[in-house]
Amino acid sequence: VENLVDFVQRGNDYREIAGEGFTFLNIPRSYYGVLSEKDLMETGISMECADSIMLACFENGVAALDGAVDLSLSPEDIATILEASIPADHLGAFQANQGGILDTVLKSRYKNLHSLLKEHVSVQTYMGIVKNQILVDVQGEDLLYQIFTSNILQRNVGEEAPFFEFIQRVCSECSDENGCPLKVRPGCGGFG
Amino acid sequence: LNPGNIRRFLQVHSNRQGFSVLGFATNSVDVIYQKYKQLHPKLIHDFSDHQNKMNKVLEVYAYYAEGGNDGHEKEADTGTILRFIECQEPESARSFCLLPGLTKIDATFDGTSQPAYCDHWVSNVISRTGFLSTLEDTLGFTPKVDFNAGVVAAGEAQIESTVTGNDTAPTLADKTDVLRDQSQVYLPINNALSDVG
Repeated sequence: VENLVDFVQRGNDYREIAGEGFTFLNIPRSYYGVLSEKDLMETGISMECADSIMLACFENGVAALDGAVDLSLSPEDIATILEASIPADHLGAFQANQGGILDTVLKSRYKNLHSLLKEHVSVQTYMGIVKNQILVDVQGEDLLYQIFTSNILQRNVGEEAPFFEFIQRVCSECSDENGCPLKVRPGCGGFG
Repeated sequence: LNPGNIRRFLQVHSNRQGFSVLGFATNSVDVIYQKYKQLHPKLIHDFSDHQNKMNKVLEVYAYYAEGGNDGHEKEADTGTILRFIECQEPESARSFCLLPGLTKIDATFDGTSQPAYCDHWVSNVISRTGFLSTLEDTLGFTPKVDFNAGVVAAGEAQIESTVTGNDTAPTLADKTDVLRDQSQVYLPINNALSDVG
């Protein structure tokens, strides 16, 4: 497909509206990234302060116990929640490092992907990938976005049955010596 | 339509539903037929020359059943068919559907639909090397070692996988053309090494 994030988002929206349509395999949030105390400490705060932020996240619904940060919260939401719930003895450190901490909390939602794709992908696309549980495979300079449907044509639970795989190939946009884009090679990004 | 086709498919697949046919448009049905006749005659299911509709259809069974000593002594696994269709009339001028039993109608889509094009077709088989060998004998398909090959993990499953295909990989400049183009066939072929596969 041309844009897998849009394609899957449409499928998920239609299923929610109509109650029918493809369902897709669940991918654990740890595949994309979760928040950890270690990440927070890299912003320059102490372990105790990082602990208090993690606890505030768990207790106020910012993150699940596995560190998966809520995908629906905005930076402002998270800032407000943390500001109101971090103990007074760590509030100063939080406020002094707020920008880095919020960035770490938000980026934790896709940090594993970011380590592969860096700034080549927009935040909006990263979030679309995580929300729609899309897998990303890297082969050289090419990418393969992929998602698998649940079984189709399955008469009885537990029986083997076919499924569909939808992919988007993101081929490297290399240029020749004259700066002209090279032609696209079929199959770039591999087969997952 | 022959209901015997459905009965045969269900019988071989333990009454489970699935896909029974993988079809290809080609301009060389006669050549493919001769290859199967010469090297894998037991796999031939049907060869029809529909002169009235200006098309030829060759159907072959994709794989051999388990057992037997070599290709000529094995019996066909009748559960999956490869269909090769050749038509003299260009698609734009065609008033009929190439696929047997179907009537051609103009497709319509709502404004939010998004197109998806077939890219590759995965087979999970008992004998990966046997299927690869048959496809090389008859279609000249060869493994694409540049792509994923060897033992790979897929969730709980561990599989061996080889991607085979034709050798005429086009290079195209336009992304939309690349998406639509199906002149390059890729067939990832897997066999399970674990109970789940």
